[in-house]
Amino acid sequence: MTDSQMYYYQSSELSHDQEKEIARAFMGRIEWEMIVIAFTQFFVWCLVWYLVITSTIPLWLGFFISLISTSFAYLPSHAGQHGHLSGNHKNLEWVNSFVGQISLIPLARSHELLKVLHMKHHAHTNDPEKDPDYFHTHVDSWFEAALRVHNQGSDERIEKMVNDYCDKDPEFKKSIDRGSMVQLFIVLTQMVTAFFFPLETLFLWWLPLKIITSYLGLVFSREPHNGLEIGRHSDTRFWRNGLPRFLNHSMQIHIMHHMYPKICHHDEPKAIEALRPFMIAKNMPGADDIPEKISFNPLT
Amino acid sequence: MNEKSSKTEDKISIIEQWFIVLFAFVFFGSVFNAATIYFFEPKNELFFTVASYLAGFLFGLLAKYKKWGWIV
Repeated sequence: MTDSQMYYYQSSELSHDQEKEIARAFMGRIEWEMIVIAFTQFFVWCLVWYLVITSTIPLWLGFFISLISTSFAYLPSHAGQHGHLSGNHKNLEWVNSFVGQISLIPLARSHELLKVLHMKHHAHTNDPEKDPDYFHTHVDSWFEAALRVHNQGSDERIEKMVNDYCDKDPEFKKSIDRGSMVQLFIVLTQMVTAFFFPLETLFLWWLPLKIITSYLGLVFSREPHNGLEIGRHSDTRFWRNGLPRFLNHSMQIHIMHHMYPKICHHDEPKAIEALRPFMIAKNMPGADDIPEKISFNPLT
Repeated sequence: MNEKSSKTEDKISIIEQWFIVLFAFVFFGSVFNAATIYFFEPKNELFFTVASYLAGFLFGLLAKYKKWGWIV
């Protein structure tokens, strides 16, 4: 960036109030795209089960279809966690939990459990004492991140973190208790299903959810946050990998989500175009590389 | 009251720790059993079924000991 550009970006026109005003224009709508994705991927997943059990398609084909459909399972829940599925409509808030939980069944996770932990991740991003995602994000290799993301339930450091939150915040504890019951129910269902359809459960449910959880740990956590410090304008980076944005669920622009979590995922490209000067002025990690126009290109 | 709730929490904790063994016993026992039948088509199915569920149980014990939360 040249000195004159720097002067422009640091001018009073780029005030924090103006940044908030621009961001607010992208908030508040119902993200219907995520509701469509949630039900479509869940329908495809159920259909694959039916087609495999009736021997209409082979198990290996079902595995690959399930792998792809399961990769779409998390984002609708994530949108629900931030209230994007109800937008500004208070009477529709139940949609966030309902759709979020349906969407997470292929990932065998509780929406409420993920929600309370994700809110702590947003509040304390990159803090080793308080960010539940810290231990699979701040690791040296992709391999380590892909493995550690599976140990969140058994990592003593995370257990201690959660216990501390429970001691301080009764509402957090209630959510953890409720979420754990849902989680237990889903895992028990998985066990019963495995008893009757063992290989199908392994290849259509367990393996896809393990592979996709690793993928989520890498693309949603490690790449945007690894090695960065604490702070709203410094905890997430804009990154590129040469792949079309669609294949990464647009996590290259996760920086926008951490800056304004209330902006819907599908509105982030337009929001990042509008807020790019502010991001550059604040020297946010990778902001200099953000293109003026965001399309479905690899952002290279 | 506090002592009671602490005892209840201890019991829940023990159940949680052993749940991984139960999961491995049922889930992986069933998977090992199905895989054995698929690959070897054994004549004595009962023996292989017992062996498969035993393998699942031992895998669960190992997972509990090693704290392999990833198996669930």
